[in-house]
Amino acid sequence: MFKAVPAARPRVALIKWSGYLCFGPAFSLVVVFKFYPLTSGIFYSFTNWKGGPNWHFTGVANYSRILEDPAFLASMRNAVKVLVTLPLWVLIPFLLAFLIFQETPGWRFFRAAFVFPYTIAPVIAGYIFSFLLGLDGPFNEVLRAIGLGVIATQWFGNVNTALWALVGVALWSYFGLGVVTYLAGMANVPKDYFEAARVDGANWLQQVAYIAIPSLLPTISYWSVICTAGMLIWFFPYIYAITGGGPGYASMLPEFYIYQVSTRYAQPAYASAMGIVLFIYIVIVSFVQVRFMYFGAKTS
Amino acid sequence: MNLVVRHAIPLLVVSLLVFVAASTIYPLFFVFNTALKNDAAFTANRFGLADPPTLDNFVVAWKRMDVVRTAFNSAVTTISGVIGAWAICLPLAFAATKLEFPGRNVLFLIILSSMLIPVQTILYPFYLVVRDLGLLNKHAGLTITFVTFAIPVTSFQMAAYLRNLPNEIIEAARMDGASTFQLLVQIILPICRPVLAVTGIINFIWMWNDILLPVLVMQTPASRTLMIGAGLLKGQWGSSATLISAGLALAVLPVLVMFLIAQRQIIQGMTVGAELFSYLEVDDFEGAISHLSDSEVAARWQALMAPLMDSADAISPWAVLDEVFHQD
Repeated sequence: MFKAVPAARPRVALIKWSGYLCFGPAFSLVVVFKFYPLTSGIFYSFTNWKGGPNWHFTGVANYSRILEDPAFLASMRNAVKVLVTLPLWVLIPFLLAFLIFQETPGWRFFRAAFVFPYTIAPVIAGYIFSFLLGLDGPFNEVLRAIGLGVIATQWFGNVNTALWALVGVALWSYFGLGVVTYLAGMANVPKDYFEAARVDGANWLQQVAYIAIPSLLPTISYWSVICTAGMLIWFFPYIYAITGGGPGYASMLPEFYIYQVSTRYAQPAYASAMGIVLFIYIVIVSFVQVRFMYFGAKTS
Repeated sequence: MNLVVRHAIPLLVVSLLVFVAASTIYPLFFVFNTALKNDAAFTANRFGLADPPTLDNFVVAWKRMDVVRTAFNSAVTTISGVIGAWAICLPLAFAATKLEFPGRNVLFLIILSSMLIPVQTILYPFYLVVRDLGLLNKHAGLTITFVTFAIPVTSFQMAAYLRNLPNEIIEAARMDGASTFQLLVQIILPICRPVLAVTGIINFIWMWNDILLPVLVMQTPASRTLMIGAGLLKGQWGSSATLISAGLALAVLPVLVMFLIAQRQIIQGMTVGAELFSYLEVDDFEGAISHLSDSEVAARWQALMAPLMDSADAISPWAVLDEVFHQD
């Protein structure tokens, strides 16, 4: 029945042309709807095209305009601020996943409850939290009840808090995905490791530090990459539903500003240039992350 | 002292979990509770239970949000998007892992690298392509868009799954004279049911919930999806919190029901999805399995998929394997 097979399985050589047939649909879709727009976006970004027939090349004019655009600069600064919250995105799900992994009483319920927000549309989550974090919303009510009434504020309407409130809502939506991702990784760590550590008298913190974290480095790095890339593209629905980038540019992020310039201000060439800048930013961040994390995980 | 600590820590842990769980559940409770009050009751008592509850807001919201039409648009595009992603990505992943032809790896890498081009970076040029192809405001337009943006992740997960499929099964079928198409439909498709469930669940959630692609592609009132309708709530309806809540409740209801019914499958789908994805992402997989024999790999594969197989009521790939091997 089964033949003896070498450990590394060679790929089967089959009818060759059928491979191209299998690739064809996916490849054409990706080319038409992604690579072609990217290429034409690069092209537009060097013109002063406004949608009409009259346009000419303007060199890097759009790009130098970006450098002087207060809105775009503010949005990039905000993007960096958001990236700084990465440790929260990595640690909170890890902690919760480990508690579930240890089968804390009620873990099945908690796992379901944590995953639940991920299934709620971000635009709806945004709306809900604009109520909850409003001036008279439950969150401020709780703050007042526990004597912290002084910090109660219109969380999305305050220049100092709007961006962080958005981060909080996005975290609410996505932390469950992190919990599940970590649980998938933890399932592969032999339970004996923890058993042995407990027998040797390791406490909870030591189990986390000396067993869970080292053996889960690949998962941690994988999840960090997902979050880092996601932070550049996950926030659109929240800004769309809640702040519109305001007050001022306090909660503006590049992805939303590009959308505004594309749709509201009808400046396709300029919007394309900003899109290309965002693209380059995403590519750099992703590559640095993957390299850094990859080697980090490998060497340890 | 020691006794106190021994009892205090578990209590602390559980109350932490309870606190987080409350923060995930209470927002939805607040919305439904608010939606069941009228404005006067809400002003008088914002946080208490709706007493007596009223469905008036839902009636108004149902009409104003044009729920029948928008939910229909969402359902058509999401379901065809899920099916389309399967239909496009399964042959792709199969060819990428099991067929040999010049340029295969480069082409697959190009397709996967499109992950680095989120729509945010190409908004206007992308819109132009959709417009020039005559796909604006059409179900087909949004469906094709959904499928395109699902391709990298979906085909990646399918490839991770198919990579461990022993080649004997394909060779056996080839000796029987099966064409690639027959192979795909008769052998790969049934074997892939678990990974179809995984990718289907993941794609359904994001396609149903997405707002950016629908906003770009579906611009007329008649073509709006449910999420676009929800996105317009504030602007259209002023500041009636109870009415907006009713709209949100209506928009969230289908997913809420789905979650309550298929909660286990969703969690397992996400778990297996994360697992398949992270294997390849950190390039750990070959290293992890290279020292194992084929049957050990097979056993691990089966163990990985087992919970999903049970719950998705899918047939075991091993039953299929057995059939193939016992055919001659």
